[in-house]
Amino acid sequence: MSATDAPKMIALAGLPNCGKTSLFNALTGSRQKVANYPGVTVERKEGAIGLPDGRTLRVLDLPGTYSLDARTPDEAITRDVLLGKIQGEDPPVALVAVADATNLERNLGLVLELRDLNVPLVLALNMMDLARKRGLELDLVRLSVELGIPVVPTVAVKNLGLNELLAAVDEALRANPAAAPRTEWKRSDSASVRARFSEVDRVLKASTKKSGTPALWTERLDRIFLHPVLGFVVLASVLAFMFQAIFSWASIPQDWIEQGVAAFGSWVGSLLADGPLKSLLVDGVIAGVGSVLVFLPQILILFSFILVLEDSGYLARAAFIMDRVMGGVGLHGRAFIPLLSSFACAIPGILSTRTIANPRDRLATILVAPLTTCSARLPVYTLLVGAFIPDQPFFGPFRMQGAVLFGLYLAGTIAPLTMAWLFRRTILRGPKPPLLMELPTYKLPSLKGVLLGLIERAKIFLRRAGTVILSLSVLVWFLSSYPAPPATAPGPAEGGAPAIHYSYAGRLGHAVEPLLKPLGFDWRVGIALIPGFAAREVMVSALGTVYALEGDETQVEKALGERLAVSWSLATALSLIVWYIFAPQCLSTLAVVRRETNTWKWPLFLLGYMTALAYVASFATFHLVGWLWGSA
Amino acid sequence: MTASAQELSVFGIVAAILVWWALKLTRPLWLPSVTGWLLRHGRVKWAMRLRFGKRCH
Repeated sequence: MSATDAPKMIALAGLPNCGKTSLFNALTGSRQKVANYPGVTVERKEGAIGLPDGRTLRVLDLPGTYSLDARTPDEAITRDVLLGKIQGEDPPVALVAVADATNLERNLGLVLELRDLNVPLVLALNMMDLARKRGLELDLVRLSVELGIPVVPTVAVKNLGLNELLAAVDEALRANPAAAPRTEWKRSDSASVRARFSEVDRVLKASTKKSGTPALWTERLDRIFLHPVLGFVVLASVLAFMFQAIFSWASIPQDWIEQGVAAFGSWVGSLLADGPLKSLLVDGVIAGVGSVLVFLPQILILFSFILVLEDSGYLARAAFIMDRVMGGVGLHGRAFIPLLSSFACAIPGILSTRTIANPRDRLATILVAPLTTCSARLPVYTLLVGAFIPDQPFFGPFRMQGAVLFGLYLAGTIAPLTMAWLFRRTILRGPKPPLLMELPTYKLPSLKGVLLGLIERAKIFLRRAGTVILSLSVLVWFLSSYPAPPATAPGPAEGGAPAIHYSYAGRLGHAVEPLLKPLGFDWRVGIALIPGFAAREVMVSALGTVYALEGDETQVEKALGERLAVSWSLATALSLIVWYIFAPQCLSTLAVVRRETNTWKWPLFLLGYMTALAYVASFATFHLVGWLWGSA
Repeated sequence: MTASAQELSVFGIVAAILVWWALKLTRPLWLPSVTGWLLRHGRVKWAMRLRFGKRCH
C-alpha cells in the first residue's frame, strides 16, 4: 500500500470533558475508558471509520486542551499533532472540533483557534440533549454562518448525529481539499485573547435564541457534596461503605473460586503419578495462581464503585474536596487525577501527570503516586486482614475487617500527601500552585460504560494472572523444589527439615532472613518478597506455593489464609501489611518513572526512600504490636 | 508418565518461561530491528501488531 492510498486521518479536538472520547468511541466502536473529569485522555488513541462511499478514515482522539497556547505536556502534544510537528505522525487532513453545548462560552475560544489552522473543520456540538433540557435554543444555521464552518449537533453517548457529522466531514474534505495548513503557532498575547473572547460573545449573541438555565439538581447536590464539613462526611461514608462491600459482597464468589481451585488441584493431582510435573502443576501453578485468582471478585467490586462514582460526576466533587487538602501539602489541583488513577495502578497515574504543567509539581506527584494503594496491594491486604482481623461488628453497620481495610486505604492516602508536603518543603521547593477545577454536571451512570470498564479490569487481572503471575509461580516453584535434599537427609517424618529448606529459594530465604528478622519476617516471607518485586500480588501466589510445598498432604486443600492464621503472629501480619503500604515492590513503576523523568536519579531515589520508609514503619509496627499484645 | 519424563517436561516449561521473560525484559533492545526487518519485507500488519499489540486498529 503506498502512502497516498493509505486512509487519511482526521482528529477530534476539544476541551477536556467535552465528550471527545465518547464521540470517538461512538464513531469507531473502540472500547476504551470514558471518564467524567478533565484530563483523562493522555495516551494516543486511534480508530477507523467507514464513509458512506466505502472509503475509510483514521480518527485520532487528541488530549483535551483549553487552548493551542499549550500549558501542559499533553496540551503541547495536541498542538504539535495539529501543526504536523510530531515525528512519524501524519498531520490530520480535517478536524472535528468537539464542543460541550452546555458551556459554549468556554468551548468556542478553542474552536476559533482551530479555525485559524486552515484545515477543513467541522464543529460537533455535543451534549445537545442536556443543553436543550436546560432551555438553550440555538440558531445552528446562524452559528454556522457566523463561525464560517459546518455545525452538527450530536449526543455521542446516544449515538445521535453521527451520520450527519461524517457527512459534514466528507463534504468539508471535498470542498476544501487543498488548504495550506499552518505549521507554526505564535503564542497569543493578552490583546488577542481578549479579541478572541469578544468574538465568542458576538457569535453567541447572534446565534442564541434563548439562553439555558444552570442545572438545578447539580446545584442542590453540590450544596451538600461540596460543603466544607458535610462534603467530607459524605465522602468518608461513601468510602467506608465501599470497603465494607468489598469484604461482604465478595465472600460468596470467593468461596466458589477457592472451592473450584481446590477441586481442580485434586482432579489434576489424581490424573498424574507422583513426580515433579504433578508437583509443578498442583503446588506451583494451581496453588500459586489460584491464591491470586480468588481476589478477582474484590477487585471487580472496588472498580464497580470507582466507575459508578466517576461516571456520575461525584468523583470530580471528591477531587474538589480533596483539592483543598492537596493544595495544603503543596500539590497541584491537577495531581488529584493521577493520584486517583494510582488507586488502580501507579503506572497510568504517573503517565497522567503529563497534565501538570510545572515540572516540580509534576515530579512531586510522580514521587508520591506509588504510595497510593494500588489494586495489586488488595490481594495482600485482604488475605492478611481476612486471616488476622476478626469478622465482628465495629461501628453501626460497619464491621472490623472493612474498617481495617478502610484504614489501610486511608494510610495509602495520607502517606503520599505527607511525603508530598515533605518534598515540597525540601528538595522540590517552589511557590504554592493555584487551584483550578472544572466540575461536570451530575448524570446517571451508564450501565454499558460501567460494564465495559469492569470487563476491561477483569481482562487486565486475568491476563496478569495468566502471564506474569503464572510464570513467576512456576519459577518460584522451581527454585523452591530444586535441588532436591541429599539422599541421606532425614525427611520431615523422621524429624528432618522439609525439602524446601534445601532448595535454591530456601537457601535464598535463609540468606535474607537476618535482614528481615527485625521486621518479624521469616525465610518463607523472604522467598515471597523477592518475586513480589516483579508484581506485588505475586507475593500471595509465592506464599501459596511455599506453604503448599512445605505442608503435608492434609494441609494442601486448606486455604492460604487459614494456614497463615496458625503460622504467623498478629505482629508479623501487621508488619507485612505496613511493609506493603510503603515498599516500592513494582519494577514496572520504577521503569515508568525512569521513562517519564528521563533519568535514573529519580527512580533510584524513589526506590531508596520507599524502602527506607517501609523498613522503619514495619520495624516499628512489629515491635509496637508485639509489646502491646505480647505476640512478637 | 514416568518420573524422568515428568522431570524433562518441567525443565522444558521452566526454560520456555525463562526465554519468555528474557524476551519481555529486553524488548526495547530487539524491537526496533525486528519491526524494521518486518517492514522491509512487507509484513506491515505483523510489525504493527508487534509494536502496538491489539490496541492497533
